Amino acid sequence: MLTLLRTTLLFLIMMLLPVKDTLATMQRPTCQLAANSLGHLTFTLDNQTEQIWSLLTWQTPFDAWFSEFITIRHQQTNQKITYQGALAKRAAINADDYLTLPAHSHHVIQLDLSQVYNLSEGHYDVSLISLRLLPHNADLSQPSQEDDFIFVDCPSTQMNIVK
Amino acid sequence: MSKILNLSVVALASSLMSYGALADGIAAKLQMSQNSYNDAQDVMVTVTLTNEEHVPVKVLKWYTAAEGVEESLFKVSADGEQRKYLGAHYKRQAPTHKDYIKLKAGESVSYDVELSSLYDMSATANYEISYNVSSLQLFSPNPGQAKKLARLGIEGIHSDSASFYLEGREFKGGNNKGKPGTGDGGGTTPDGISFTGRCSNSQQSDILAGLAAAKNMAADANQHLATASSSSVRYSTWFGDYNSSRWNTVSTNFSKIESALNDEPLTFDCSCKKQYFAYVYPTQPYKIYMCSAFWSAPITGTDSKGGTIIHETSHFNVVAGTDDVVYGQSGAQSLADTDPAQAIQNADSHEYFAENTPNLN
Repeated sequence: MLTLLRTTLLFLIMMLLPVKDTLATMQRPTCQLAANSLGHLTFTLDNQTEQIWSLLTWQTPFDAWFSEFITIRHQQTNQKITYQGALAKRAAINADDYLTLPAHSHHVIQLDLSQVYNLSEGHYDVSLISLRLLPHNADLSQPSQEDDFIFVDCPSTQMNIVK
Repeated sequence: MSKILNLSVVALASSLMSYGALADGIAAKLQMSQNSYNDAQDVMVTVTLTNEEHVPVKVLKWYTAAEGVEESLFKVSADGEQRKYLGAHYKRQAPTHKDYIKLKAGESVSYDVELSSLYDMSATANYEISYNVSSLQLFSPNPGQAKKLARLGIEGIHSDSASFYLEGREFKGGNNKGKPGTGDGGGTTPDGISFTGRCSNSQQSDILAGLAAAKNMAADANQHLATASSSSVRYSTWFGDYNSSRWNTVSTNFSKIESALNDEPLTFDCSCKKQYFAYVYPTQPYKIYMCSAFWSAPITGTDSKGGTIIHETSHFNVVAGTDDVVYGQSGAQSLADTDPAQAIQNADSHEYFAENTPNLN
């Protein structure tokens, strides 16, 4: 009985292994947005994969407020809210421009949108530019082309501003 | 009785002075490599602090240039008239042991300091400078010793003065001239160009050279858009396939860029230390913040000073309201191929079209 159980277990593990491998190579970090009624946006980045990833911090919440990486639209009018932060012209990407995401790491950053958006009371849709990631074996000292990146989209979120 | 006591105090004080346990402390010396400067030259001075005592002395590093200039360290005058310090003043906690540097007996330290970004040197004049700092906390983190030094009247480090002649940029009374409390230390040229954020002489000169190049580039871009045929390779390389409405948008953008550069009151700020070329707030024309990559960029050509000023000017919402859709030449070229509507919104595409390097017709 015990032998049978062992064999079955072994069989099951063998069945699962290749599937797990394929999943690991297909898996990538995920992100989430959540906004509260004061205009605070919480950005969560989860690397639940087995490998290290590098995030290009340009045009992400880690770059506030030197690029326009968020789009906020008023739900009723579909009007885009003007970004009032800075736009920077950058030199070539270098290793310092990446944030390392260790395997099984979790990163949270909170932004106060009212610093750079004039938000009156109402309902808004908030979305983010796609994140640009490189897998752990990429050479960060080499200039990267857009084609080298793996893009990850954050699902957009709704925001109800109450004054 | 009281008279005798007074006398003995005087006697004690003079014995301390003559033995000089910490009497003169630190000597400061200023050295300059030239005695005449033009408006494009930075005014470099080497400060040497020497411990002339036979015991180690600790000096509060806020009052040295050990970590850059963080307080007014100099007395500066132009034709006898004192010049205000324009740099930072820090509000700090009381100093602790780690805020002091120790100089052994006879030991010297030297620092190079650039003065035209720290003091108003826009006037053509004979300048006189001296090292001049005083603080009761200057020499020791030990309050007892500070009191003793105060009693002895030793409260500072002072050097002899050095003098030089400077041909200044002669700012006019613009918005930023001598504005108190901003720490900006700017001025406005006769052409209405203002500087804030402590631009040194050489930085002002770099900006003006970049601006002149940007004006030429904008004029050349407009000339091309007004005269070239719709099969222009220069246009299609940066903005994609010809379409009259997009061509008109680009033409309007460049004519607004050119008039902003020539007719609007531009302000350039030098306080940014980031690795960027520059940045702007698109909702706040016409102020451009220059960052570290700008200073090493060529005047013309790809990613140049002139091109950077075109790029930044195009961002202002009242000018062309461009975005940073993609960065870099190869990114901008692919954007032109795949999405011309986005290319005409992209700041780098405008910059590369204006820089026209390599030269295309």
